[in-house]
Amino acid sequence: MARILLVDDEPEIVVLTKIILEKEGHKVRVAKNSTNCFEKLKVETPDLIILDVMMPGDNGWAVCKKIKEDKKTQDIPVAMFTVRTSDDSVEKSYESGANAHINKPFDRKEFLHIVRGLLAKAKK
Amino acid sequence: MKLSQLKSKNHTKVYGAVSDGIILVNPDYTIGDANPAACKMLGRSREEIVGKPCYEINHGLKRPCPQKKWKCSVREISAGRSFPETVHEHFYNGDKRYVKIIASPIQDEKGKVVQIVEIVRDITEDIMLEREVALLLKVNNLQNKGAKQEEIFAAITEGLTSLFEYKLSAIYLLNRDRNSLTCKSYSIDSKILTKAEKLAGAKALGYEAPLLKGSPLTKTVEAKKPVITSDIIELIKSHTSEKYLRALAPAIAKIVGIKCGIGVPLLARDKLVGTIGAGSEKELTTKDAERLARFGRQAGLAVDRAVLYENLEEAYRELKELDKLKDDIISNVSHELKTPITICSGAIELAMEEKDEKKRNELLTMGREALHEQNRIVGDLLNVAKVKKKALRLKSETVNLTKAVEVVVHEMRPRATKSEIEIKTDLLESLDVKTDFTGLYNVLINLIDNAIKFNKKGGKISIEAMQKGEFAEISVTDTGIGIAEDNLPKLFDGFYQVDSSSSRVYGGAGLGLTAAKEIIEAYGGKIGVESEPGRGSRFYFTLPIAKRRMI
Repeated sequence: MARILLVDDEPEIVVLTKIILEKEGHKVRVAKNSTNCFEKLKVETPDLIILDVMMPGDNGWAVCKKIKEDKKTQDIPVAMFTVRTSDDSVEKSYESGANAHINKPFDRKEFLHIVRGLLAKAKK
Repeated sequence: MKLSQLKSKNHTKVYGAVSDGIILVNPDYTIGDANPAACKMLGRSREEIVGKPCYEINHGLKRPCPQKKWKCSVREISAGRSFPETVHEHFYNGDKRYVKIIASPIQDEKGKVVQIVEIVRDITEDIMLEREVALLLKVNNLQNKGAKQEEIFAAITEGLTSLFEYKLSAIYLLNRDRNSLTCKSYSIDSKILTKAEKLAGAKALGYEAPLLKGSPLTKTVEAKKPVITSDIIELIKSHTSEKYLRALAPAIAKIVGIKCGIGVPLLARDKLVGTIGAGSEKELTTKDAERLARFGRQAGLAVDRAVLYENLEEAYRELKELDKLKDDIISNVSHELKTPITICSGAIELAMEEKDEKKRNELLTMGREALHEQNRIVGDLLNVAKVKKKALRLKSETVNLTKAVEVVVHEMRPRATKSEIEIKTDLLESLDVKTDFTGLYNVLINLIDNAIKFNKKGGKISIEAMQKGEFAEISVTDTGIGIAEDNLPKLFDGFYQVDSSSSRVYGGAGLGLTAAKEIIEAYGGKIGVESEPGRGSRFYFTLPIAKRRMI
């Protein structure tokens, strides 16, 4: 249904999350880090960006800020997807402009529910 | 007036028996009479004194009183004016004593002053007692103010040398092992101290004196009683078991220049806290010993309290640190476990839905590997905890380095290949090291795991080993993103804040490197890293080489 850009440097996480999203019928593109992410954004505009925080180079929050500052990409919903589960981390996510903060480990149903919600909102 | 007029049976008895000196001074400044005690104090016979001008006698004053003053005081009293009590430092028989002189007029019926009677009283003991009390008060005040141990000890030794007029004094605290004393404070003329320290090649402060059998120090400690020694050379010798220092003892004794040494226990009720040592240029008596011992009992309480208080503060600090460490460990470990748990649960859930056998097995393998990772993390944690508790029973085996590396590389290769990373090994010769296999295995897994994680696609990892003296140096080099110089020192600390919002430098490797450091250091090796951001990193560690078995 939707085009999702998944940005995460952990290969296993990527594999599993991709399978889960593809089973829902979405099309998933993958980026390993910040540079990779912006390269992919130049090529195609996704309907949703799922963004890991802990990556080498720019972390997810920095990437989110950049995405939200750029007129071309600011309307794309961004979900942070991370093991950083503390209250401070959640705050940081929202401060950087993210539309959602998903904790790892995640409950599959909840995860998909949030994804659905973000995609629905964006459509309007 | 003649003394004979004073003499009645009783008066004579009293006159002769009192310990105070009584001197009668005539208005013409001559001595009318002196009682036996006065003669003793002056060190002269009665015949030598009577009839002489009083200012010639001088009472053994350090600085003789000028004639004018004598005459003046006599006139004052003769005129009926009072003369204040005065305290003087007198030297009797080479001994410094403090005497108080109270002069009073003797008047006839008409009120005319016919003679002056001087009471000469030795108040040395009183003065010493006053000083003792003053010093104890000072020490207690310091202790109440929360002054540091060092301040209190310094006050005691300074007080002993200045107030009690010892040439040197020192405080020793009994060490935990109860086999030695450590010098905590020293008071002696600094020039003498420097000379003695130079000669001995050892500093006085912090010096640990062993409790040798039969030594004066040991006697003081064991008997909990004062010990006086006149054999200074023996006393100095007894402070050490080193031959060369014992040989220097006579020279040191000469420099220090004391005639008599005394040691008293510092007692906190019945508990021996340490000792006070003092040295004097004159012979010390049992009275001196008693006085110092009494002081030792009082000061002992203050010292004990000060030491306990500081120990308590230190223990509290350590506890707080350990508490923080515990919090950090919990936070770090739960953090690190999150990723493999996510992978494991996701993989198994999907595997349960997957009908295709091949895909299902792939997912299950992924889950199993993630489980191994969790195992490793928990294992690392236990290692760190064990080593931090120093309970790690070091199983020292002889491990063949080449074999160990082979095993690890074999296990890690699939992972590396997935990220298109090549692992090369270059172990110069077959080296055997003294370590325990599991420890070495853990260290290698950690380093190679990091090298894979932080490497570029298509990058290289090379593992080398070479002999460096008695150690084997093993290095794992990657062509990864490298580490900034600022972060290098923190790497092996393990429990640095993962919560810093900056990018993950070596976030996931936190615990592993700390465990690695503890293991390597437990075997006497060193671990370190060199890195160039953008180009790669080289982690290296050393382990002692096991002697080759003769074939």
